[in-house]
Amino acid sequence: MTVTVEQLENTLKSGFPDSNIIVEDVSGGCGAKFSIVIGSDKFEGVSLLERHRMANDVIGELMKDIHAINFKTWTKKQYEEKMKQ
Amino acid sequence: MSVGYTGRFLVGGLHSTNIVRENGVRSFSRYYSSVKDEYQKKIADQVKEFPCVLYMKGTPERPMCGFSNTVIRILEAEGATFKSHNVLEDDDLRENIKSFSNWPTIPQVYIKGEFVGGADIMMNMYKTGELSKMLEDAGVVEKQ
Repeated sequence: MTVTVEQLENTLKSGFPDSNIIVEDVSGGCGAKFSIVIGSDKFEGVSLLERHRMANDVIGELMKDIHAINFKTWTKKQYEEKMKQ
Repeated sequence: MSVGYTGRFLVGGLHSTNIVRENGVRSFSRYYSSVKDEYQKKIADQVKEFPCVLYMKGTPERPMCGFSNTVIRILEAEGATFKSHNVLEDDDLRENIKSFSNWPTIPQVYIKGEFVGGADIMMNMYKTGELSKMLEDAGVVEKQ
C-alpha cells in the first residue's frame, strides 16, 4: 500500500486540529519518504522527543508503509517565526 | 541472494516471523511471543552494555540508509565511541527494537541506556550542542 500526501495531511489535521501542517513527498528510490512540518500549540512546553512521539502516535498505522519521515515539530509561534525567514 | 527492502519488510531473505504475523497462525504466534520476550530482554541488556549504542541499517563503514548515515556522521563529528548493531542482519531485532522504544523507525540512539532519538533529533541536538554535553557526560568523548 502506498501512503499519499493527502492521507497524511488528513490524518495529521485530525490529530492536530487548528495546526499548520505541511506534508511533502521526498521519496527517492529508498521507499516512501516524507517531510512533515507541524505547527501546533499542543507542542508548547513539550520536549523534542515527546513532540516526535506525539506525531508518530497520530500517524500510527500509516507508519507501517512509510520508510522514513523528517519531522519539524514546532509550536505555532515557532512556526510563524521560521516561516518568516 | 539479492536483498532489497520495500518500506519496512525485507524481501528476498528468510523471514518467517513476518509471514507468521501476516497469516496469524496460532501455533506460530505462541512461538513468536516467546521470541519477542527473549528479544525485549536481550535489547534491555544490550542498550546498557555501552554508554552509547546505535541501532542502524548497515554498518558504520557502510551505512545502508541515508538516515543511519546521518547519525554516523554526527557521532563521528562529535568524536564519540559507540557500539552499533545492524538491524538488517537480524529481522527479529529490527522489529523488536521498535516496540522496545515505542519508536517506529531506525536509526535509534541510546545514551546511558536511555533512548535519545532518531536522525532528526540527533541532528537537532548536535546543532544545539546538547548532544556534546550528553556524550561527555556519558564518558564517550574526551572533554575539551
